Amino acid sequence: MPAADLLSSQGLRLDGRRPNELRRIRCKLGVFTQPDGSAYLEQGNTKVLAAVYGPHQASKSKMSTEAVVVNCQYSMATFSTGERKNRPRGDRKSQEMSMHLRQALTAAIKTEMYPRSQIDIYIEVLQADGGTYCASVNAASLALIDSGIPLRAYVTACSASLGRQSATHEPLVDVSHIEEAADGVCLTVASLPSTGSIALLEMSNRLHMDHFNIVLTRAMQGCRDIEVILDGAVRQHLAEGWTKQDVITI
Amino acid sequence: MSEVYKLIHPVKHFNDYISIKTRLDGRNFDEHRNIKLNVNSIKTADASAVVKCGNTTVVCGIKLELAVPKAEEPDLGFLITNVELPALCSSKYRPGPPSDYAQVINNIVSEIIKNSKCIDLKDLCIVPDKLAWVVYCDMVCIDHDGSLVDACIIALIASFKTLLLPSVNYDTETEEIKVETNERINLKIHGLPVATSFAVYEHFQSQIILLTDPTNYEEEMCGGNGSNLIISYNKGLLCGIQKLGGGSLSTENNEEAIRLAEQHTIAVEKVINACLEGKGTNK
Repeated sequence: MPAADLLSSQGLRLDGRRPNELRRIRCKLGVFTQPDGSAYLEQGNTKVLAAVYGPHQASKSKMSTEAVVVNCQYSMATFSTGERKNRPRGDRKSQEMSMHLRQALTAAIKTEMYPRSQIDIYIEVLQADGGTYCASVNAASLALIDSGIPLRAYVTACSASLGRQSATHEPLVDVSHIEEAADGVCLTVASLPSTGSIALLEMSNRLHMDHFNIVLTRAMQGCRDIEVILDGAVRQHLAEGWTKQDVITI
Repeated sequence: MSEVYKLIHPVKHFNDYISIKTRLDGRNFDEHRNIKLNVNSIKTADASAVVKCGNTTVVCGIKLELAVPKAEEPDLGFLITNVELPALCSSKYRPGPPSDYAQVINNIVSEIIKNSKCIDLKDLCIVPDKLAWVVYCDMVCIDHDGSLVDACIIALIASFKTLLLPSVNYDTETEEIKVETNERINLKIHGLPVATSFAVYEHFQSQIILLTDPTNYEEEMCGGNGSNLIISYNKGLLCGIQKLGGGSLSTENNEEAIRLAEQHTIAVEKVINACLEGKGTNK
């Protein structure tokens, strides 16, 4: 059910955005020296780091002769949320996130290129303000590009919700923490926008079937918009000369 | 060509550099790397700092909680430091429970803070036996390139300097707690502890070379993880020397290290003060 108070009478959202407006995305590739690929991404107040190690030889138990093994770990710093988190990783929520990240990213990686190998993708959330999954996928996508691992296409993720303004329903793109907490519907989509395929789709809360399509369309549009931003960042990074040691100020 | 030489004869390659009195990254033996510091970058934490010493990057975030003091120390608050080395920071670490090395670093950092007496735990107590602050200091290393303890201490102290404690009203009769987040006071910091790491290298088993602020590679060449000599200073007073394994050390070397550490401390103090002045200590 759409929560009634997500949209003001002027049609603006709780943080002053328009329904189809993304939060500001700032990102940087190649921020670290140790990993093979790394990226930092800010989506509004959500700040995420991603690092990629590999491809390297997989451990015997995990090894596959068909495709590369993608290993993801999602971790939230103890100070990233309003309430202090006791376990930064390994809890149920983080493990679920790790699994969903792996599923979305495996869809983008050309896994058949590296049999008997493994790619490690580590995500660290420094500050969480809703949409951590989306930010993580986008950051991981950039880190994979930075590491030079062949991808089918950009993989981006975006969430969408549904607000109500008088009698009309309006889908809201890129859900922030206050909107997540307001008990509205939240649809998360990870997709490969240039091929139009959906890698992962997750929805919490109830939503009438009539509204599903407009929410999904809005989320997919968000994915396409994010792809344009990420592509710009990659091009700028390459234009600056990728061998240069980049300095980051978070 | 040089890369191949380094890979095939790492010790010889390293010795060649040491012989011409220079290091792999072009520094002198007693030169430390550039320090970059930024405070209050994480809004969800009560205080935070990001520090970069060369490539070593540490994020420190402080979270405040309230708790009942221990029965045996009713007038003391709690200060809990925790250093995390996630698999993200280096290919040496595997995901899983904290490695031995992370726990050793954690212990060294908490010892330095405790021994420097920069924070009086009595300041963290609100009502004796009833209510006290718990200050959780979590340091996450996001890029590990040597001299981790130095970076952790800088990040921690810079965060402490910006930490503002909300005032708390405690009603002793109804035991009601009221936190005034708008009225905040600075936490008292006594001095400014700084740690300096040295790698001890035995050049042809005769000469002992001290490398200030070693990188990860230098640490590995000098005996591996945790074999650094770490000297910490607070307010011109020595407040800790750690040397766990690695090459042996003569008295002269030790004196030289102490002298270098004192100089380094002054430089680091300047960096921290400059950063705090530039930002203003208010949120």
